[in-house]
Amino acid sequence: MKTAPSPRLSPPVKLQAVPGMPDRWSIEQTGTMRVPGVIFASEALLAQVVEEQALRQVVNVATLPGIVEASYAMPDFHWGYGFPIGGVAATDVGHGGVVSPGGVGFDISCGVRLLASKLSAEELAPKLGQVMDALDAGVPRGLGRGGVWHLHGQDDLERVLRDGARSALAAGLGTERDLTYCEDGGTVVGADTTKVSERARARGLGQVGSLGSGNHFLEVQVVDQIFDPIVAQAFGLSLSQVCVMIHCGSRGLGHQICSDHVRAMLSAMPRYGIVVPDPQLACAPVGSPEGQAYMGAMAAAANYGRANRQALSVAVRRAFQGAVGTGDLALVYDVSHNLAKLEHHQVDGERRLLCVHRKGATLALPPGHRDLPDELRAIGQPVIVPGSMGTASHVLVGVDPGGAFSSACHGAGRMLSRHAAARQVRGEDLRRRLEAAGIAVRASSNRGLAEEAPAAYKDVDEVVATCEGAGLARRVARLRPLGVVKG
Amino acid sequence: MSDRSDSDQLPAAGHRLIPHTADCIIEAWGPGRASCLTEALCALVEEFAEAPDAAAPRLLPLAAEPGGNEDMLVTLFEEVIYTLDVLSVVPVRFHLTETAGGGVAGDMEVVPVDQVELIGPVPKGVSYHELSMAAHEGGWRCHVLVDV
Repeated sequence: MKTAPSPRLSPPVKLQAVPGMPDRWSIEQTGTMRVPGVIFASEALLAQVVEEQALRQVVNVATLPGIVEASYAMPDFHWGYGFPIGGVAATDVGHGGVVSPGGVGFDISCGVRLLASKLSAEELAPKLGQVMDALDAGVPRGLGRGGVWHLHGQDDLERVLRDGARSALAAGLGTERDLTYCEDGGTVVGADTTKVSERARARGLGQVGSLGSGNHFLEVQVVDQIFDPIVAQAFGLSLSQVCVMIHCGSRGLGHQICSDHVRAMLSAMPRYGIVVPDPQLACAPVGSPEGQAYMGAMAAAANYGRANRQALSVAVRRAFQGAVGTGDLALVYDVSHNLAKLEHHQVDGERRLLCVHRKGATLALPPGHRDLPDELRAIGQPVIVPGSMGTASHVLVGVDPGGAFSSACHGAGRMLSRHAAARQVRGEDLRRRLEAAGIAVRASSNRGLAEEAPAAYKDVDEVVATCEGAGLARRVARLRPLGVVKG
Repeated sequence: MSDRSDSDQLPAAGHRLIPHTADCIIEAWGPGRASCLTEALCALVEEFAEAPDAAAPRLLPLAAEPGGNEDMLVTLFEEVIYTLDVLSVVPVRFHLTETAGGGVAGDMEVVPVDQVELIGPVPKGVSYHELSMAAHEGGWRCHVLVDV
């Protein structure tokens, strides 16, 4: 049996290739693990997992009460805190399964939305600078308050937390069609706004419709390769078409909710007899008061995240309208990659209600799934995979049967730390290099630019090819950037 | 990276940023708990902002009630992060002392957001992963991972 060289571990985590399953590796269930670990990765990607902690985190997640099947890691997985980034874990709600805020992450409902214009790259070219300037002026980002959508107080915020993207429509920001192409119709049901603290509300009040900083971005892109013409057409994508990708989440509000509920669960765990190997894996049974409180608050934050991306979509349409005379950009799809959802899946031949944590992993529903809107049911769910800044991004489609509870990768996956990236390239040089390659850059910080340099990430083309090879999702289209807006 | 340490002899108080793939790890140390916490807070700000040298005219209170050492560290970090998000000011210097009751209290000098240069991703949350704050070799030392 083939074994992979594993990073330094004490004791080392041994990976074994799963026979007959390409790009799939297992970690044997030992010690306090309740299930094995399963990693989807090509040998090339595995060799790029340089931190021992990433594999250790796959093992740690496998100890969670009620976890079923396996502790999964997507092809772009890397070192996180508690869960690895790129981790998927499902717990059996009916058998003591837990929910862990760390399995969702601080940025609840961080995700991606893709908008498709009716312009070709050739048509946009003479006006690209104007579009980028309009986006630069119209997309709040970086430090401090300020968003596209100015809420007038707690009542407005309450509606955002309860209704998600639909609340933006009620404020005139978007169309009914936008909701159809948003995961969950734009609204996560079950939001309990009484479980959202005053501090979370205060942090969220002034940030609806803002990108933030770090790896969040907005890109103007062009479709440069089609892998599946039929599905691409069904998604409204064609070669040379100009698109806009938005990557952001629930801003300070989501982070505060995560912090509040991790703390509450750390206090509650002894009552449930739960011991975890890392305090950031703090958890409580889904059905417990603490579990329900988190699920309700998380849903509220997810709604905030969707309203945030919806408001930014309107800013994009306004920018295009002003610069090129048409703001007609249709939503291809909006999907989160940091969320826990209650879903039914077959486990050991039995249909069970599971709490599926996806931290840095994207839902990838297959064709025919009941949760898809009528317009997409025959095709499958679009899986939007942003690449690193300045490199390609991809659109995939969910497949049957898929794997890891219908999950796929969420990005290229970091390889270098921010500091290592900043040491390798100066922001000014990177900006010049991107612009020499025809990519317009509007960034508020050169250092921030350097930290997100493409060299800091794995090869997104390899990541999505691995997703396809491992049977998680299938490639539909590839997009390359024409312009980058960054916090 | 900011590193005031000397590899042969650590100064009495200092801090450094340790590489983490996606986020930021801060290590700080000092002769006392308050100085160690102050160093950690300085590192938190240096990670993302270049502050003006001049003293800031505005002060905001900053305190952590008596509790576990790690809890106090988290409390102070979360207060800075909250201040960034809600008040649109950036704390640039910190003054903390031990209180008689076992907590720490003091203030932070803050400047408006537009007076600092953004040089990195803004901190947004404090993780409990490998969090530590403890007495160490006659002084204090802490280790904290910050989500950015």
